[in-house]
Amino acid sequence: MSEENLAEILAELKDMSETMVDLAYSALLFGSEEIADHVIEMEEIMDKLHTDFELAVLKLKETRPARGLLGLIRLSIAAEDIADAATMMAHIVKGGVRAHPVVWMAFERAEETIVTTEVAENSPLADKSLGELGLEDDIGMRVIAVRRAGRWTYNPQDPFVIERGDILIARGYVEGRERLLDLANPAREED
Amino acid sequence: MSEEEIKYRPISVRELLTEMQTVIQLILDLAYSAVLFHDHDLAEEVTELEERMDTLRVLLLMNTAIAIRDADDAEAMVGIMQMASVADRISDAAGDIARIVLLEIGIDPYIVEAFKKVKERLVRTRILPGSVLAKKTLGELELESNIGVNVMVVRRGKELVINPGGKTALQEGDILIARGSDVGASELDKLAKGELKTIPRPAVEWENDLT
Repeated sequence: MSEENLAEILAELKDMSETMVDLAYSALLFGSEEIADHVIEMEEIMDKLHTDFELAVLKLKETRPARGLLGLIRLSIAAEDIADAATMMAHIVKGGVRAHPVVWMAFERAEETIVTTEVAENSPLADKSLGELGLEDDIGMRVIAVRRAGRWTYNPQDPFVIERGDILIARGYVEGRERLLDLANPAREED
Repeated sequence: MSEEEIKYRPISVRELLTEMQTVIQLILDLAYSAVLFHDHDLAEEVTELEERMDTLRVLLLMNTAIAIRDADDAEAMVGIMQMASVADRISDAAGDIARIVLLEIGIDPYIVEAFKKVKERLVRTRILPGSVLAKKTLGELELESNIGVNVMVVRRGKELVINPGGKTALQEGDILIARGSDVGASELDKLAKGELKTIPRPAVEWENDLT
């Protein structure tokens, strides 16, 4: 594995750990078990990435100074620790932390929300880039993560093209929620 | 760390959790930037924010404890109390990342090089006497449109303003944490230190560089 790949995996460890924390908090604040499930699923990917990364770092021990490699190992342990903490948070959400009125009331005033949805066959979102769609300007929802064929893309940028079957996680104001769900799946039934 | 100094004050659990989320996002952002750009100032700021997290964590525990009146409440609140320890764990991990920089361990220079290609970075700087930034509001300075940096935090002693608005007035001694391009970040640093006396106008960017 080249050092460039190493930088890529590191970027992924970083982005993934940050996204997991973000999603875990959102799952708590907006009461979404579905989002909590995504976090738990990401933890498995994170474990594998972390192991791949550390093995790749160790392979460089003959050619690179030990100190800088130690720094990389410590960094990946911390990233893994952050992901673990996010997963604990997701389990707390799944454990029904919000069930009791005392807690539930504390979350009542939410103006923002988070939503997860699959892009259906006949969705007008399919084959369009996020830049073209301008969801953030039009309906106030920002796509923060996309799952495609078992892989996650975090914080997708304007050139990112949405495909059928993608699972989107988006955050925004409550009003935008239903509109995004309708766009992703025009045939859906009101829940 | 001095927990005995943290006095109870009533704050809603939601408010505390929301602020914890903001501080946690910030502390992770700072810690990763500190290590990837080998920046001591950012690493120091992580240590400051660890203290802030600690205060929030203790306040969360106090405010949950005070809301518990019976066994049902206690069962419901356990989850919230666990959230406090999770937050603690995350800020500890951020601290561990910062210490890679502070203890001069560093990460492999090749990786640092790879991350220098990243377009944006964080910068932390203090407003020194004579800086043009002092006594002006962020609205007047228009740093975002002029030099392309977004001020994320203004810290004045222990007081922390996260995502400051246009009305926030800056003072000598304030610490700013901002996000922007490499150039913008260094311009902000020079403005704060008084090395740059006027705020640069936005540069014209050419899409196709002919050189």
